[in-house]
Amino acid sequence: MNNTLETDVLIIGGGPGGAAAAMFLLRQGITPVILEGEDFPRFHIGESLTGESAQVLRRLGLEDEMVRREYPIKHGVKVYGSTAVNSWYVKVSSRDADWNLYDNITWQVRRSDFDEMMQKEAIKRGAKLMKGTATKAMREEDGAVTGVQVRWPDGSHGEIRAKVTLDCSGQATFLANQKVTGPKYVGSYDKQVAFFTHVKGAIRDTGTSGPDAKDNTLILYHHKFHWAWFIPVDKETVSVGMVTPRADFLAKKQTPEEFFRSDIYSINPELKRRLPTLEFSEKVHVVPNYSYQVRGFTGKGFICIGDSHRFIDPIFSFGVTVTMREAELAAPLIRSFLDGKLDDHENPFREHEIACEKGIDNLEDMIDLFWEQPFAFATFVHSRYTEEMTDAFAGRIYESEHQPSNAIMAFRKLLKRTRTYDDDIYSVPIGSRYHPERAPLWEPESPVETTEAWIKKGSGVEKNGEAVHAS
Amino acid sequence: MDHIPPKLKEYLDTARAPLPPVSDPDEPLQIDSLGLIRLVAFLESDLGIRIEDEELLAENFATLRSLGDLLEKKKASAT
Repeated sequence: MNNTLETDVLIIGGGPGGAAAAMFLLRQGITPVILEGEDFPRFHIGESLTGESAQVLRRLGLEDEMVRREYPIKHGVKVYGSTAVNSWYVKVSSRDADWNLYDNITWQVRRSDFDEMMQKEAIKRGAKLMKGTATKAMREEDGAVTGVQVRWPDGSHGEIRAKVTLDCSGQATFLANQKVTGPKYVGSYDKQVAFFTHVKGAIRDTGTSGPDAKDNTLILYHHKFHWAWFIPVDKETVSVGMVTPRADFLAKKQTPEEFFRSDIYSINPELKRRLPTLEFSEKVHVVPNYSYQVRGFTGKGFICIGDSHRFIDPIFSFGVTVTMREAELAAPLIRSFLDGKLDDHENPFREHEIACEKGIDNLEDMIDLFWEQPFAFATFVHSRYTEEMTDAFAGRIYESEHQPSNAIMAFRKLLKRTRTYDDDIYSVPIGSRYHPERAPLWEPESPVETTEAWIKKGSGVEKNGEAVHAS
Repeated sequence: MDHIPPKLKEYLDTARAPLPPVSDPDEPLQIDSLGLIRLVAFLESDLGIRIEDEELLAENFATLRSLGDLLEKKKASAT
């Protein structure tokens, strides 16, 4: 295998973030290298796309391909209260050039299929895919990232040198683990664990549009931080997941599948009605430790995109949206950087970082309010800020001339929270300002644990975790 | 309780049905979130009491007493 390779832009990770970044870079006349260790297709969670995800795909010229693949069409999100007597609905919407709202649709996707399609499309358009694993970030004395060391599939080692390295490694948070970025903090939703699988024979609605459209996302609330999702991924299969306090799982000493089977029906009566049998076409997956935030996620020679710098909570399906939008926003800046137009700054991508941070802060305010004040949240959806809430649900969060909207500002009032972005305060993680107990540093030197390792460690982890939070 | 207008008391008792009318000011009203949304609409359109965004806290609508306290506070700050 080649020992050293040089490229303008190296993308670590060939998921939808990496693939979207590659396609947007190609439009800027940049041919990137994508480094990916896994063979695609592979299972991944995060199957519901928001309205803005669909808009990105349309801008990438992929709408026909999405239609050809017959991905289930999502018209909106329906949220059931804990007794399932009441529900509320937010439709998928888009904004035109004059910011007028119009109804739109997006898609639910089986991620193994969608992610492979995105990767193949990026390669077809000219990106170079290399199979291998990034093992170490290479840096200059001033900290600038100059590429990565790689382990190739045959076990040999090499280097990829790049003017810009994009971390699209997802929850593996490659550059944060390499301490290239600022610190990685535990997020606000670190006490929950997600369990999920694919179920056959689930009962869907029967409509073709609106709240009763058959392939909408359903969110089924149980109580605070305890909920389930129902997301159709093809004609036969529905992705069903539940998020539970991890103490509940650890106390029961069951396997993930036993736990899933024994607890899923107690989440919400509506879920019980819709799952007459529990026939799984996928193993029960578990993801703990998914809530975190990385500071200083851009710098000389690098940008972290999507999950590689922040993940809050899976409740409203923002993962793919955030990573693809950040990729889209980064591409023209990388062009300017390569053209020498951003060279004078200490961190050429600082403005991008703040724009991304502000955008996701809007989401964090929304998610926090949903959990802290569900009644106020439902009132906003129902009557006070219906249009602004559809913006938030669609993931229209980076449009700084329109965000934070009146709805987001109202969230902040209710959460007694202000957001300021000067040089000092910016480096303080939000969690530590509002919930000091919730924002310890991610364990130094520790990558995200594998599910297996985490389960094996069992309740000891929880006790240690509690001790950290109590101190 | 003084700040609960009779029309509101009547509304609450109907909204709670089939539960019996509220007698204890500290008894949970047990109105679900969609019921609370309707209650806010009733306060605003029928009684002309504007509920601010930051007052949309479930605890303000939990009991007759907390609702009375909210209305009293609003009245005091309005005068």
